[in-house]
Amino acid sequence: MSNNYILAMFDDEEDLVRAAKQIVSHEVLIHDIYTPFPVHGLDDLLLIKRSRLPYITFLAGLFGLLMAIAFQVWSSASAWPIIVGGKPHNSFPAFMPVTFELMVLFAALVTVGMFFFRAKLFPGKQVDLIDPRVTDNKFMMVINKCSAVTKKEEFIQELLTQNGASEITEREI
Amino acid sequence: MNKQQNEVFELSNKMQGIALALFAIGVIAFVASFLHSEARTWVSYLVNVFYLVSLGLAGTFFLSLQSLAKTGWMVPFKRILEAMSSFLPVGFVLMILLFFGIHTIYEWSHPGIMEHDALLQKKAAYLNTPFFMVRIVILFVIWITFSKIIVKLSRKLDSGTGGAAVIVKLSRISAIFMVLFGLTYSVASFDWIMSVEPHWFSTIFALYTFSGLFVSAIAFITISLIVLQSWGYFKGVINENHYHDLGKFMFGFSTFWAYIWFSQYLLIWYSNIPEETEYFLLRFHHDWSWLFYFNFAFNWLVPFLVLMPRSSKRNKRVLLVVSGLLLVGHWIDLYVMIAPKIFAHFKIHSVAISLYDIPIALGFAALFLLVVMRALRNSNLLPKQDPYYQEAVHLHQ
Repeated sequence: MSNNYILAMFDDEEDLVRAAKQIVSHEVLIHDIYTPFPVHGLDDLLLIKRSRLPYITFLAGLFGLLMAIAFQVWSSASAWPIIVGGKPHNSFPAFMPVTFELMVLFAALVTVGMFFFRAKLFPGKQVDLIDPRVTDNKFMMVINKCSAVTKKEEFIQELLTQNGASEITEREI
Repeated sequence: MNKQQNEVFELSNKMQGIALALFAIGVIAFVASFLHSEARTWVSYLVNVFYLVSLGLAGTFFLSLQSLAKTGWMVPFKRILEAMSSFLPVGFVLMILLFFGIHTIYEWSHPGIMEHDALLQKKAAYLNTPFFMVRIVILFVIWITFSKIIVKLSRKLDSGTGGAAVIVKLSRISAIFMVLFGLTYSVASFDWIMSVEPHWFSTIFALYTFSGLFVSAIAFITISLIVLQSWGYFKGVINENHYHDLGKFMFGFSTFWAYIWFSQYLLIWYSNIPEETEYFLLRFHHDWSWLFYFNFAFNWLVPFLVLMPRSSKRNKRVLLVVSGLLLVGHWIDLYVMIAPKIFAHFKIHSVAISLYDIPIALGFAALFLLVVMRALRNSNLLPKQDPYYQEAVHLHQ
C-alpha cells in the first residue's frame, strides 16, 4: 500500500457538498477538503471542532485591559504625579479610552500571532499545496484509505464518480 | 393545508381580549396615578410614549437598513418590522396629547420662568409651546409619510409585480429616509427629553437615545420571533443562525449604547462646565445613584457577559431572558433621563418606580402590541417573493 490517500477533484461546489454528504453517510472519514473559497456546510461534515482562538482573544484582551490600567495608575499617580485639569491623580474616566484601546490592540495582535503560530504560518513560508488548481476553480477532497477500512476502495471511488468527481487519483503523502 | 395556515398570522379573540384588558387596566392606573401625582403620571406618560414611538420608528428604520445594506437574513421577519411601523400614527396622537402635560414636564413652557432666566431667553426662539407643537407635527408627518411609502414598497416586492424597479425605488427612498431619520430623531430627542432640563445640553444626546432605540428594537424583534415560533409560525424558516445574527446585534449595540453613555459622561466630566455637570450631579445624589448605576449594569454589563459566548447567542432561552432584560432596561434608561429633574422640581423624594408606573407601562405595551398584531394579522407572514427570501432561508454561518 504505497498510495495511502484518495484525491478527488470536483468542478462544482454543489457536487462536492453532495459527495461529501454521501461519503460521510457511509461512515467514511474525510481527511480534508481544499476549496478556492469558503463553502458553507463543510465544517459540520468534516467534524471540525470550533476554534479555541476566541478564548485566547478574551484572555489577551483581559491582559491588555489590566496592563493599561496598571500602567496608567503607576505613571500618573505614583511615578510622576501631576495634577491635570484639577482632577485627582487616579482619574478612572480619563484612563478608560486608553484602557479600551490597549485592550483591543492586545486582543487583536495576540489573536493574529496565535493564529499564525497554530497554523504554522510565517512570512516567507514555502507554498505547500495539494494541487495548484484548488486556488483557482477546482475543489479537492482528500480521503485517507486507513479511515475507510470497512469499505472497499472501489466502492468509495464509485461513490465519488457518481457524485460528479471529475478526476480521481491516489497519492502517497 | 397545515403549512398554509402557519403562513398567515391569526389574531385570536382571546389575545385581543387580553391586550384590551391590559390596556384598560393601564388607563385606569393612569387616571388613578393622575389623581395621586400629576408630575409622576406625566413622566410615566412621556417615558412610555417616547419608548413606543422609538420602537415604531425602528420598524421603518430597519426596513430601510435592510434595503440599503441588501441584507438577506432580516427578510423572513420583515412583516414584523412593517407591523411595528404601523404604530406611528397612534404615537402621533399620543404625542399631541402631551400638550396637556407640557406645563408639568417642561420648565420652558412657563413664560414667567423664561423671562427671569438670561440663559433660557437665548433659547426662547426655539423652546416655546407653539413651535414645539409644530415640530411634533412636522416630525410625525415626515415619519408617517416615509413609513407608509417604505412599507408599501416593501409589500410590493412580495407581490411579484414591478420587478427590479421596486428594489431601486425602495433603496432610494430608504437612503432619503435614513438622512431624515438622523435629523428628525435628533430633533425629537432634543425636544422631548433633553429640553426637560433646559439649561443642560449634550450634543451626543441624540446618538445616545438612538442607541437605546436600536437595542430595544432588536430585543423586541427577538422576543416576537421566539414567541411567534412557539406559536407555530416561522417553522423551518427562522433557525439558530438568524437568532445568532440578532444576538450579535444585541451584543454589539448594547456595547455601543455603553460606549455612547460613557462618551457623554467622559466629556462632561472633563470639561466640568456647571450647565453640563448638573445633569450628572442630580443623578449621582438625591437617591438616584443606585438606579443610575443599576442602569449601566443592567443594559450593558449583564448582556455583555451573558452574550459573549457563541452558544448563548444561538440559544433561544438565553436570548429571551436577555431581550426581556434589555426591554425593561431601556425603559429604566429613559426614566432616568426624564424623571430626576421633574421630580426635583416638584419635590418628589421617592425615586422608586411607583406602583402605578408598572400597570401604566403594561397598558401602553398592550396598546403597542394590539396595533402591531392587528397590522400583522391576515397578511402573508413570509415574504416568499422577496428577492432575498431564498438567501435568508438558507442562512448559514
